[in-house]
Amino acid sequence: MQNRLKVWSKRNTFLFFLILCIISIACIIGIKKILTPMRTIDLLTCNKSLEKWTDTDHLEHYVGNELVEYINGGAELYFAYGFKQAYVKEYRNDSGRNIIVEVYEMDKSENAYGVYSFDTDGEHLDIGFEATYAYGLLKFWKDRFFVRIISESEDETTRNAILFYGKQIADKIHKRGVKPGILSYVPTGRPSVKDLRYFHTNACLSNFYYLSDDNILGLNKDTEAVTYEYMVDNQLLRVVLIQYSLSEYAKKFYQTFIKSYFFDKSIQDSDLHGTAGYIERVEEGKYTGIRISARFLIIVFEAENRESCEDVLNLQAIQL
Amino acid sequence: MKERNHLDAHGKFIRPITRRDFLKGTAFTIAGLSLGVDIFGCGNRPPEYTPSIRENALANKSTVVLIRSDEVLDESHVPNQSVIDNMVNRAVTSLAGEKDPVAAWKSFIRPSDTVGVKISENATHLEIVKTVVRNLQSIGVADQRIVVWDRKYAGVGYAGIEDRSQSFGYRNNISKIITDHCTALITIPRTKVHWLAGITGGVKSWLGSVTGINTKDRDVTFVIHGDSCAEVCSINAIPVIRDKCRLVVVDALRPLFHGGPQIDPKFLWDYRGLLMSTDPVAVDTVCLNILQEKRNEFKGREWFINPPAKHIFVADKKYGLGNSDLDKIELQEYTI
Repeated sequence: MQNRLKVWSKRNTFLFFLILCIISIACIIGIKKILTPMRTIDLLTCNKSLEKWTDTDHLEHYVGNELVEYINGGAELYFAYGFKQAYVKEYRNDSGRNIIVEVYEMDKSENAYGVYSFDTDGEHLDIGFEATYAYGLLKFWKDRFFVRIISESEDETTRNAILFYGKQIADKIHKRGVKPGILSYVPTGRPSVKDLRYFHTNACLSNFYYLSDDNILGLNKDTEAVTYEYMVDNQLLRVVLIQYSLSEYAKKFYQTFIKSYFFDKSIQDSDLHGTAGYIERVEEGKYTGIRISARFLIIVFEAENRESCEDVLNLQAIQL
Repeated sequence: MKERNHLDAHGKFIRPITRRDFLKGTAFTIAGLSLGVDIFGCGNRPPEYTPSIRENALANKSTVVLIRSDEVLDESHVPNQSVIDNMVNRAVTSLAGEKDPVAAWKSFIRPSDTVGVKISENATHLEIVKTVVRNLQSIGVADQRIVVWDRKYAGVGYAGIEDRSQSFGYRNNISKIITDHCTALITIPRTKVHWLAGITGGVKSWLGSVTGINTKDRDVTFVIHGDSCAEVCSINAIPVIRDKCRLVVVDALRPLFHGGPQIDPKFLWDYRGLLMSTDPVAVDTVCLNILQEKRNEFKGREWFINPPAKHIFVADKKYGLGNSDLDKIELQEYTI
């Protein structure tokens, strides 16, 4: 009896250590997978192939400023969001149709979201963190990657292939990434908030809403900013929210904006140094208002009346 | 309402041009006032290679011909070559006021010319380029004296339309195709809305003919990227480019009305148009209006082209390159 128990005990001990070893190896592999920096090029290695579509072996790689060779005149958009490198790969089917896969690696996930936020109109799909598909173009972001997959012409076969390659790439990105913190201050729960865009530079703001040839809001890579449209009482207002690294910068550019934008108005010292904000009627009878709150500036454009302008400034201010 | 001065005693801006100036329509008057400000950034260069203000600015109206055809694109958006041929013929004869296409082409290009045909890489429909090159040959321009190019990629003759594997190099940062080889230039850009410059067209197309630029405008020959690329027109104001350019043919078969230069198919539009003019500023002004109208229609409200295409107006008000005022443009529209 005792011998049997000894054998049973030895067997169990052996099994215990075997299982422990297996678990340890699995953990080591898992940890190694997490700790090993993911190479961007690996995202383009397809584990599964898609019938009728072949890899053309056409692969382009652009690091930093080299991106201008690929998107002449358009690379600046990516530079404004901490661009690191990009890979471009091409697939072709037996009908001669092409699919171009572009993987852009940014410095952080917030900036990958920023590029994605430039245009989010289309069908929203469950690929990556967020994805949009329309007319043969899939765009998604996940972690620090922004991915575009495009075909010159769209049919069901091409659409399926685009989504197939998109899912393959998204699945290879292990981290989900985070959205910019400034988004938590936007009243996004309201259906009246539309076209939310995240940005840093004046060039990006000029693309959403042209303000000035000079950088009168002191925007740069260290400023966090969003802009969105706000629909209220059949009015479409434009809101710009900026978070500076220091409250002194917010004060400085609050004053710069008032002096530069309302150059032809009677501006009092109390307007420049107060915290109540400033609202003024400008061209086409529209109202523009600005308010400062610690490190934040809120600016509202295109209001039909003073009350709407003030209401939206207040609405945004209470979120801070 | 008091209006403060825009410039100080030295002719420099004391305040920036804002959105409000555009809404008031004063922005380009201010731009015109800045003529004395040295922003060429070109250093010591021969005058013919340095942007300059045209002294004999256009006094007369500029003519822009717009041809459209429903037949020019098929369901897959592929251009029909014979329809393109007809569109180009109609455009050139209308612009020249001649019935015969050969006579019309000869009013712009001499058979003895060496012609540089500037295209936009990966954008211009090559069917238009083929028609233009064949027409040049039809008036007696030798095949080996036609160069088709964009940036550093060039091809010679009809075969060079597809095979642009040659490189001609640069002189004073300007393509030698322009400085050393060609006596006449034709540019065939594809118009589109551009995220940094407002729009792309005849004026901005010459950017692809120079080197020594970078997006940060640091230690460069041509300072063109700041202020929404307002100074990109200075390239067009380089005498060897400005004076050799005889014709601007704008590909508006399928313009991109938002988000360019990177293509987003939902903003591509089968406009099926082609524009021709000798005035790059006038033809861009017409394109600007076409694209703006499309954007308004798409959104069902005003959807401004952002940033404003300042370079078109700076090209007019500062450099005298052409007319940006619609009242000074005669638009001839035809449908075939």
